[in-house]
Amino acid sequence: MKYIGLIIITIFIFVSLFFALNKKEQTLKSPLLNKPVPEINLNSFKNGKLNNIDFKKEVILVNFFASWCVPCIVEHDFLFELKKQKSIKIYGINYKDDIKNLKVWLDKLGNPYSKIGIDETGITGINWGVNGIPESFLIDQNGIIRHKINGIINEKQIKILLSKIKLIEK
Amino acid sequence: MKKILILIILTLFSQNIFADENLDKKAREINKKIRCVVCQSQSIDDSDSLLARDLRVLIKEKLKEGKTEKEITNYLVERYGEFILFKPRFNPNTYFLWLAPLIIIIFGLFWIKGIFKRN
Repeated sequence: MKYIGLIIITIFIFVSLFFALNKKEQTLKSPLLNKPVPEINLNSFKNGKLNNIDFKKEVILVNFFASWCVPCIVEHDFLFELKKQKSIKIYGINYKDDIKNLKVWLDKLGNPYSKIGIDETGITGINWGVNGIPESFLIDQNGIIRHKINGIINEKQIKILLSKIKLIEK
Repeated sequence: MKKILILIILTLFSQNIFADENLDKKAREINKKIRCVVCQSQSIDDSDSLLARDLRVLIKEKLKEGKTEKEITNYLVERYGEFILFKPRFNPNTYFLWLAPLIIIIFGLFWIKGIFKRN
């Protein structure tokens, strides 16, 4: 009975450690979730601009990628797979890349993007709280960020995305 | 006349250098307080990662624009969360973080006092 306090504290510490270390996803929630898309004003890959006006009226997936990013190659096929399963606009943000390499990359792997914004300096990446690429954001019809994916979009992430889109479109 | 002109140019030039030096100093002070979110326990001042380099440039640019340290850290926290600060600020999200050690110490003192009393 004398040591009951000590026992409770020890159990509490071990249980906390167990849950903290057992967490599969170590990434933190983005503070931008459920907030409007940050300012964006980029030159588009072909012509025109990609800016905040483009985030209205429909659900959009924004994907930060680059031709030098190896995981992005893996992810690329899954972007096509997502489009096959659900008609959704995907905007690409080409992060700190060489336009020539981007063109070769898209010619080789195909282009799943409705629009590509060129983030030459990486400032838009910082504005969107990007840690590393690939990273993706699901935006609703009102221009609000509803979900963020750190890392590649794979089969599991497609399932999560589809359920999120369903919820948004309800 | 020539000498005076040279003196004026030199004064203006040196003022520019000092202003730049001050800006660099201030930027480094801020950089040391910002965590490199893609590295292990490094500030963006120590890190050579792509993101850390971009953040250093951004901080200097914002200082040039006349933004204060508070405005810059707010901007970063809004995008990366409190985690980006080495020293999290005292606000409703971090009350538990800051107060937990104090609560544990108080709890511990009462507990020790209880043991002494019983003995």
